[in-house]
Amino acid sequence: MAAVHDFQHDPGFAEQQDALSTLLESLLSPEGVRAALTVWSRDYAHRPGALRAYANCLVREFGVPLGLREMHRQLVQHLLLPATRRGPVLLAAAAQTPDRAVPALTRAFVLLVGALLARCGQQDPKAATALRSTLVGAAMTAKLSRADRELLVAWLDGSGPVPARAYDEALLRELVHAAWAGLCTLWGPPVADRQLGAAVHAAEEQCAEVRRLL
Amino acid sequence: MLPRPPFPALAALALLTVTPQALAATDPAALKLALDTVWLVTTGALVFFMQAGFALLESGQSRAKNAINVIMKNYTDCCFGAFAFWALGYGLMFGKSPDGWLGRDHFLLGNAEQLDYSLLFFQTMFAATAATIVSGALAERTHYWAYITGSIVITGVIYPVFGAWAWGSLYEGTGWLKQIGFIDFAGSTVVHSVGGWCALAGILVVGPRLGRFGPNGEPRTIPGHNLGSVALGGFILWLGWFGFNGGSTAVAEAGIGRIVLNTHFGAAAGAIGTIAMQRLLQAPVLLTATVNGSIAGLVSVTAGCATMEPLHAMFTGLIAGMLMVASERAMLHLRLDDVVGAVPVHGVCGAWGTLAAGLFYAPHLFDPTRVTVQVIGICTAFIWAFPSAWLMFKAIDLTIGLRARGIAEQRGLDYAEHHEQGYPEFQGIALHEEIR
Repeated sequence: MAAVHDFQHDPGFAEQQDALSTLLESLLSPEGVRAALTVWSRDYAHRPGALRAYANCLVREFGVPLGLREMHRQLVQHLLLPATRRGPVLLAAAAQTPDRAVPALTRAFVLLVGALLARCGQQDPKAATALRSTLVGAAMTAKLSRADRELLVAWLDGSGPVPARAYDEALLRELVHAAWAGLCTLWGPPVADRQLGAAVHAAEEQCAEVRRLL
Repeated sequence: MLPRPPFPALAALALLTVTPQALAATDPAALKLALDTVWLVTTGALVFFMQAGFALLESGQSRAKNAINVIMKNYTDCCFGAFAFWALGYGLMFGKSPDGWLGRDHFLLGNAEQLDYSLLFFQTMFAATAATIVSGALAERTHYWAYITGSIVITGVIYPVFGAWAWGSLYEGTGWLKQIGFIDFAGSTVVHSVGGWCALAGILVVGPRLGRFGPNGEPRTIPGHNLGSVALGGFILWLGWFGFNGGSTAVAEAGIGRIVLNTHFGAAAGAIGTIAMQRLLQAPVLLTATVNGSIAGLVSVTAGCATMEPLHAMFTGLIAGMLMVASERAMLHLRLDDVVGAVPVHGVCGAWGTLAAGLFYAPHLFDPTRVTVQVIGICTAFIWAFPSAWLMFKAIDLTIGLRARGIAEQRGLDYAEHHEQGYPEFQGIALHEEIR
């Protein structure tokens, strides 16, 4: 019989419970927090990529006074990002020019998605937040090591530096596509095409690899 | 070197050989057969030219990054469809059918009478039209091979089966709808509604293009890339329709004059009806809608162009133009993404035209029995074509996948499916480096 991982005694689990408890205390009554924590440990803690489903549960069943997207973002911030990086979203982080030490393709990705987020934010800050949330959701479901995912999610979320890791080309292309699809949902395909075109143009001035991500 | 004689001089010389004496000396039956054949083949060629019209109309209404894909679908569905119809469709539709349900011979037609080949040629063009209606509706998000598979099944089975009921047989027996008096002269229902209902099924299975509707269902305009091509496509279809309806007599006869006049009136009134409806709704008068309006008019007079007076043809077209605008709005309300308006134009207006053929059947207007039969025919077309096409598209979706991948929608199907670009000089703002 395969060994079952005892996640409740995992030090990461205790840390997550604490972080979750801190978050829920600001949103629910003490009874609500206890019930929500029970549901988390029973149904979601052991499932990879279950944050969106848990966010949905909190909004629908516990009546958390947040939208699904915002709830999901808060969960990502509290449960997945290292404690030092928690805090308000740093909008400027996405637009920063990546260091030359960053692998070429990651650099191209950061430049392209950064330009896209910046353009999106100029037009409508709420849309930029929604787009970040879409990208975080896509990154969360990607097959990545925990460390690589945390770095990527932190950058996409706007609360971490540019990830100095070499990511798979297919994954980065998928994320660029998720950004385009997110723009389609927000504003429709003609605007999404225009925004992507302009972002490619801007990013290409600094990095020749950009079109490999399209 | 001697100068080449001009072409008109050669033509005049050739005509001089066809003297009345020469004609009189020919067997009248043979002459009639020759004339009928020339008429059928010429009009068949005109119907084939409609494929070009559809290609221009549909590609013009799509974005530049999908133009080649749309043209490829229009160009090749008639290639695959030709053999599907020859192998299976023609026999099912026109073969001997003693019980009036399905033809049982004339599959893979060969060693046949000369006129049979002309009929097969003409009917093959009709079958291609029924299939190609679907391509525009599903444009910009449908996998090329999935579409081709669908068009083969439509040409080889779905269209011919209903055709057998309404038009069969050419050899023995009569289709059951034809037996009860169903009138559809050139195929408002047989060709166009069947194509339209297949398109509706495809739209439901494939879903809307990414971002076509907002979060609250509000439709977002996705403009086509070449409205000049839309207008040219409209003109070509209009011209081709003279062959579509005129050729449906299958013989060179005096009644052709009324048929093509009614065809022209239907198209003109359709465009006017659309313009009037847009003005009534205080909407901008759009070229795309106006071209679609004329095609709606053409579709609607197709059933009754041989049996109604020009005044009624005009009225039929006018209503069709208005109905097209209303049904396009209804489609958007239901969040159905039909890129070129194939369902309103061909499905809905085909049904209306078939009803109008019963209402305005000259000289017995508004005969309730005839109208009832027409309604039975319209409903039968829907009951047959829509579920069978839905099942077919669903099966395609589950096996080879009907919908192109999301990344293909982003890159455009021209690159994703064909590795080509329609307009390489000025396209490529957000394209992968390989194709840029």
